Amino acid sequence: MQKKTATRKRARLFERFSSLQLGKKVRYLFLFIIGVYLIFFLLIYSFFIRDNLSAYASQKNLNTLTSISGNLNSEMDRISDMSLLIMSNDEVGSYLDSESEIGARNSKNIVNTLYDLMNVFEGISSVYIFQSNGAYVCATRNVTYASPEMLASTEWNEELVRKAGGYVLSINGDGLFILADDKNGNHRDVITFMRVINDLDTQEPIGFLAVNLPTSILQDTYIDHVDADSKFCYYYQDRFLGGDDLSAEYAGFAGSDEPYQQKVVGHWGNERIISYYRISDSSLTLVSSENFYAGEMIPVEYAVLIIAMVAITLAAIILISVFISFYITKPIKGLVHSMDSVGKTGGLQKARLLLPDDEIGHLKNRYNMMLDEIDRLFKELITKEKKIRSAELSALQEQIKPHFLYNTLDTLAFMANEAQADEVYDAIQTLASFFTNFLSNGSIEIPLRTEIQIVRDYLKLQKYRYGDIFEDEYECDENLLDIKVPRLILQPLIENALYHGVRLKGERCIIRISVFEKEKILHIVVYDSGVGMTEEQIAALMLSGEYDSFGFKGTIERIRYFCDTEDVCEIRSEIGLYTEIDLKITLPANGIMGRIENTSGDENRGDENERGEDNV
Amino acid sequence: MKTGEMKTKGEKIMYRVMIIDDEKAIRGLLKSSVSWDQLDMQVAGEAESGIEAINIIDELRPHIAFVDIKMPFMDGIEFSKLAIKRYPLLKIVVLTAFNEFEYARQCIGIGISEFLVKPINRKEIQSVLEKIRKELDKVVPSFSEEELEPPCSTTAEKIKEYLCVNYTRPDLNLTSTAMAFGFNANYLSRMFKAETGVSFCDYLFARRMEKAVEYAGRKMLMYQAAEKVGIPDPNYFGRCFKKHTGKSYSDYMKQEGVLFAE
Repeated sequence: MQKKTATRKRARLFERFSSLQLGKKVRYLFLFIIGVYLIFFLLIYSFFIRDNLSAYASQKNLNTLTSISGNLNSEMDRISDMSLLIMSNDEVGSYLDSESEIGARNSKNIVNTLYDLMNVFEGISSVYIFQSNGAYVCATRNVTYASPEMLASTEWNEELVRKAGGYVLSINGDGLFILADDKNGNHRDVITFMRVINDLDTQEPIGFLAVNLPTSILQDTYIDHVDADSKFCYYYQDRFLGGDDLSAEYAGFAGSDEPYQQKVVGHWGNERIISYYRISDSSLTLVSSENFYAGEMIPVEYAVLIIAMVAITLAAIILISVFISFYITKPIKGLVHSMDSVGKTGGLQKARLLLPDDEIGHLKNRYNMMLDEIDRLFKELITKEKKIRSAELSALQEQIKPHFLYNTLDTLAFMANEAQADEVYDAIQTLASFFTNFLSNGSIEIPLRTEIQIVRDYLKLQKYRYGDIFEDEYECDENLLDIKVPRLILQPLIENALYHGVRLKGERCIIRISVFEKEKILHIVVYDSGVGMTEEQIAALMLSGEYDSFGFKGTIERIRYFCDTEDVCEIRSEIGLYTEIDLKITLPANGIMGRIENTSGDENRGDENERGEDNV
Repeated sequence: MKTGEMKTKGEKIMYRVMIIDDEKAIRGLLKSSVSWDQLDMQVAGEAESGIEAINIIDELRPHIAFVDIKMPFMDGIEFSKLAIKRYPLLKIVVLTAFNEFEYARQCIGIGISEFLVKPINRKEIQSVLEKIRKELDKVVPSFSEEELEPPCSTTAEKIKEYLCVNYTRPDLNLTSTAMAFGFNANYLSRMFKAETGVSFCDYLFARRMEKAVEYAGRKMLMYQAAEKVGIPDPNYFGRCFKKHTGKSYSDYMKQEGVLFAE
């Protein structure tokens, strides 16, 4: 279930991405790339650089610790030098000489000597010289007292004896010394440096020397290394000896016997190294805590390189983004905008962008070429349509209310009949027949028979108008009259014959229509014995059509369109004698029947024609 | 010009109307569908074409002319231009079929008084005629029939010569001749008759018909002969010929032509 929703979510996300604009897609893609880049960078950092960095920091820390322990050792060396001076002192030797009697006597001189030495070697709290039996002399700044109980026991000097010439460091001489509290009432400790004093001649131990030092000398060893990020302190066994309290950190190393140990703790950005370092030949331990920052630790060259790489990558991405925007997204956007306007403005607006000569430029050129081609086809179509339309518009306009027209004509015919006006009745009947055939229910093609009936009615009506100025004759092959021809191809020719031939002659003329077949071609010949036509007049006739409802030229064009050939009309004429227009309609190879289409409508129309003829 | 003498009905002038249309039915309809008397008008004459109108207009001297636009030989526009130039006071009403309207627009600006679109509407004609009558009432009474004699004296012989040269021009008539000589048409008419004993129109008609007879003898086709004598409307020419010779052109051509040939 959950898996399903997740898949669906992913699909939806992908879909949303797919439907984004190209520019946005590119932007999102670059954001993604930058994201991946950063994640990769962080991984590299945490896995490699960080490791290197902490190792580097640890080494640095160890060096610091070693240096601090070195400081302590050199301090001890100084004290050791001082102890040698004391040990080589004659008066000390004589005081410790068990055979000599002057021991107690010259103790005062020894104390003076010790004070002198304390003045030379600064930072010493007190100096004790013990005899083997526990008697001692001391120079002290009233801070320490030797514990009589400890002296009474026999163990306090055993370790010193074991060490022979070496020194032992301890705190408060492991209980041998007692310290008075300071002025503020705080407990104080001293570091005790003890060693055996041997007889110069026999090299037998004759006494012990103890030098007490304030714990502040420990702080002096690391004072130079302390700052906000670095903390140090000393422990004597588990005893805290002042400085920054790092007990918690030190506790983490409990039970370890290693001479030193380091740990990196904390999270990224706030890491530190905690470590301890055992001071050799003593129970002292140095503990440190040092913060380290990745930024600090990365070498400058490294940082510059990384920043430069990031900057170069970003610059590259921006550059690519700009490039894509300038050379791809923007031109496409412009092209799309231009294409959009095609639908809105209605016209075929060419893309007028200035594009480089690349694929997109080619696309634009192709698009414009396509528009040109479409435009050309449109215009061709429009001219073709116009030719057909203009020829039929008038007929269509008259079709608006044919029923009203027919009914009215019938009413008029009835009225004429009632008034016994036979001629008027005839005229109205002829007009009705003419209109019926003329409109032919808007058919584009009608039988030739109907065409001829239109001409008969037309001429009859024209006779009413202009008187008996012509005679109409018909010589038609009956077998050809059912062939379908474009509607109203004859009436314009007859009109032409009447107005441009017959009427100008002023004499009674003949108008003759012949229909015959010759070599698979249907000939419809309109002959008139009018004034004839000159070559110029014939040429002018072919260009007519401006004012006539059915131009001669338009008619010829329609026949050309119908027959799909240019050679459809021939005009023969002799000035003053006749004009003959020969329409040639190609019959299909399978003969006359190919043009005849049997429909019930034609038969009806045929009946009407007969009625019309009866009325003549 | 005795034939064109103004008739009066009481104090009022009877305005003369001429109808020029190639369809007899239209002319008849126009004549019968208007109560001319009530408008103080009468139909003085009719013509089948512009050519015929040019030839008879001087005799009819109409105040108003109905002109069909689409006529053979000389269309309504051509005729109107001519007529307005020669008879500035003539009111011309143009008749036009609806699909000739673009054609009729050419009339705008040449001084035609009214347009009427066919089919003819009786009420429309009535109102147009009433309007025209009012206009004429203002103009005609002040119009003086008597004109001053022209300063220069020209003999009828000169006019005859002019006619002998120009008879082939279809637009030639009394008024155009008078204009050519700088006369008033009435003066020319009277002077011509006084000097020759024949009216100007009869003389021109006779000249043309003499020629026509000659062409008929040469078996020239009628419409060509008509054009040659300055009456390019063969129908009108045919009537003129018959009136002159008593025979139709074709008959005459058959009979006389044979004679000539023999």
